[in-house]
Amino acid sequence: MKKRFLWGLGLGLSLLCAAGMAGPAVAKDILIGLDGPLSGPAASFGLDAINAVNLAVEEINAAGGIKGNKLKVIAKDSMQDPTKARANAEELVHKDGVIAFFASTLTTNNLASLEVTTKAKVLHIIAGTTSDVVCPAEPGKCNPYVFRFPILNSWQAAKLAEYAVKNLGAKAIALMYDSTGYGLDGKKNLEAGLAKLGQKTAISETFNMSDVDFTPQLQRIRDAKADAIITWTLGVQVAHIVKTMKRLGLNLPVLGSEAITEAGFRRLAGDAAEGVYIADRMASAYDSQDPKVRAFLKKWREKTKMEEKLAVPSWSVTYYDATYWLAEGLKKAGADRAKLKEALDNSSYTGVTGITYTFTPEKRNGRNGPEDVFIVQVKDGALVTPKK
Amino acid sequence: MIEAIFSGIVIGSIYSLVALSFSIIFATTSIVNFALGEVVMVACMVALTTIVALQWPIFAGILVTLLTVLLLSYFLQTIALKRLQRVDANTAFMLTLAAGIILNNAALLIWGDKPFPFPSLLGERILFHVGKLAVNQQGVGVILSAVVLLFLVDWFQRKTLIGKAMVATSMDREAASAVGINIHFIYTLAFAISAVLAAAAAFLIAPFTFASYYMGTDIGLKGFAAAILGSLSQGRGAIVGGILFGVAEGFVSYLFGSSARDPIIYLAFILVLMVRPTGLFGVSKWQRVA
Repeated sequence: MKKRFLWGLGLGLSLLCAAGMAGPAVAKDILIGLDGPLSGPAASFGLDAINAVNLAVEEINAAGGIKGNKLKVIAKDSMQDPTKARANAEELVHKDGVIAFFASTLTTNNLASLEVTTKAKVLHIIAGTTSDVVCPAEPGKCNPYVFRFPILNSWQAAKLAEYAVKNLGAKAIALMYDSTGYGLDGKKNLEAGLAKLGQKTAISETFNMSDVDFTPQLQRIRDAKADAIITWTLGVQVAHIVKTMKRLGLNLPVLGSEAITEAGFRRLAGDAAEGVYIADRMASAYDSQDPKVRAFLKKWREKTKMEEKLAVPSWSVTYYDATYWLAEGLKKAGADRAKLKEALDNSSYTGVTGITYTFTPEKRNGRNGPEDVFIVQVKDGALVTPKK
Repeated sequence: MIEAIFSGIVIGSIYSLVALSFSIIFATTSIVNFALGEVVMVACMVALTTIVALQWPIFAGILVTLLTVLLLSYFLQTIALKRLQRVDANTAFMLTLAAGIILNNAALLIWGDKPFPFPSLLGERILFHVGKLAVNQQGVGVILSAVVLLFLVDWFQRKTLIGKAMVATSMDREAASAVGINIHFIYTLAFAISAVLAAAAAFLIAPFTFASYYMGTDIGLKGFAAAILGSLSQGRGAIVGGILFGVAEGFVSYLFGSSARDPIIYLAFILVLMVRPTGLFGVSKWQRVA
């Protein structure tokens, strides 16, 4: 009796095992890693990133996932600490076994994690960082595990210089940049951009991030008889600049880098932000009539609870697009790191706002050059396509 | 040049308020209230919450702000002075510093890390031009409000009986006590006046700096430096120190750029103190040997 029971049990178990092996694979989550500043002063960038990736993942999973498997995002916070970014990457790549890694929006954190992903041969997706160093535009200069979606700082600078000279007819351009690495990099790029157009800067003014009164700098800019100001700094500082200009009654066109597409700039500067031109990675979503863009904006606003005027998904659009691009690669190549890289090394994808990203083994920047930079303008607190 | 000097006077008159705020407490109690910058910040955030977020009438917002900083100061004074100064004045310094750090972090928790726009209650229109200088409502308003407040405090100290008692206390605490002045009341009063000045500084500076949890550190440091420059123990000296500091800032950044501003100003600051250790207008009361 006892013996027969054991036989039965053994038979039953082996049947179960056989069924497990032969039957359809059990649905398994495909893991995507994301590192970014989720707390601290730069948190808004990281939160935008995670919101965008999650939005795409929810949609992809709702539509059936990757051949029945669901995508799952594991997000880690590295704040502004590169050591933390490195540790996060190690954990995501080795412990969690993610199929691809979204790097932090911050340059140094991004670079810190790049060593880890390269060694482990994991896709290193850059959807936030715009600084040239993380993946230079020249073919072959960029790490082969990197796929970058945003526009580069040097492209923004070239476009802003061109816009100021050609569209606004500026002949004496003043630069205002902060004393951080970001500002100095911008100055270098802007000077190069202007030099290409045969122009020199009329005057260059720098300032510290803690400055609140920009009167001395603006006065020197007025004395230099500048007819346009290109800024290269963050939203709070440009808000101070345009507010000071208003107080001084200094009426010059102001242009700025993509960093000031963030809502905080317009919220702080209020009226004074009106008319400011900004380099952006996408055309104005606010005045777009494209139903796809409108639908995306609506979903984005529901997710972030932002009012329509302020909600600008510039940062998030590249994260959203990159997630869809990744999903397409996964559908083709399956959840295998090497096969996935091979499939995506030669890929092209058109995102929700109509931007096309193309990658080849040499070309790791999905976009192409300054011609891919859009100029938007602040009007009634929203970012619109300038009427010129 | 003239614009940099004008904006220097505007900002400087706000430094003066903070400097006087430091000076009043120091003169009467020999304590440097290092939490003062954070008191300015709290005033600013409370005003922002009541007037902008909750849309209360401005008058009510100002009232609540004043009450908050008065309470805060009273609380600080009770602990810092009544309990700790008897132990050691340095302990009291440390306590104000700790209180400042607590306020700063509490504000970060309550209001988050983003700066907020702060409305200019004085208006922003440009009134008239003097040459290239655009004189705007805000600038004139700031200078006028600061002057009125500074004058009021000065008048109070020199002309009223309580004010005179305050000055007497700052000259000699024991003697003042001996002639029947209630020193603890004078301490409370000093903290109260200081708090009101800090709140005024908050309303005046926030349209320039935006309101944020981290705004207090900068205004606190500059107000303190201005007070030291003028004189920490003489109210009038502190006031002049504030204006001088503001104008020097504007002037130096106009001539040498803002990255050179802080090194140059603080170098000059050290030189001034080497020549006059009690500040430009200080009397050397501290060198007297008992």
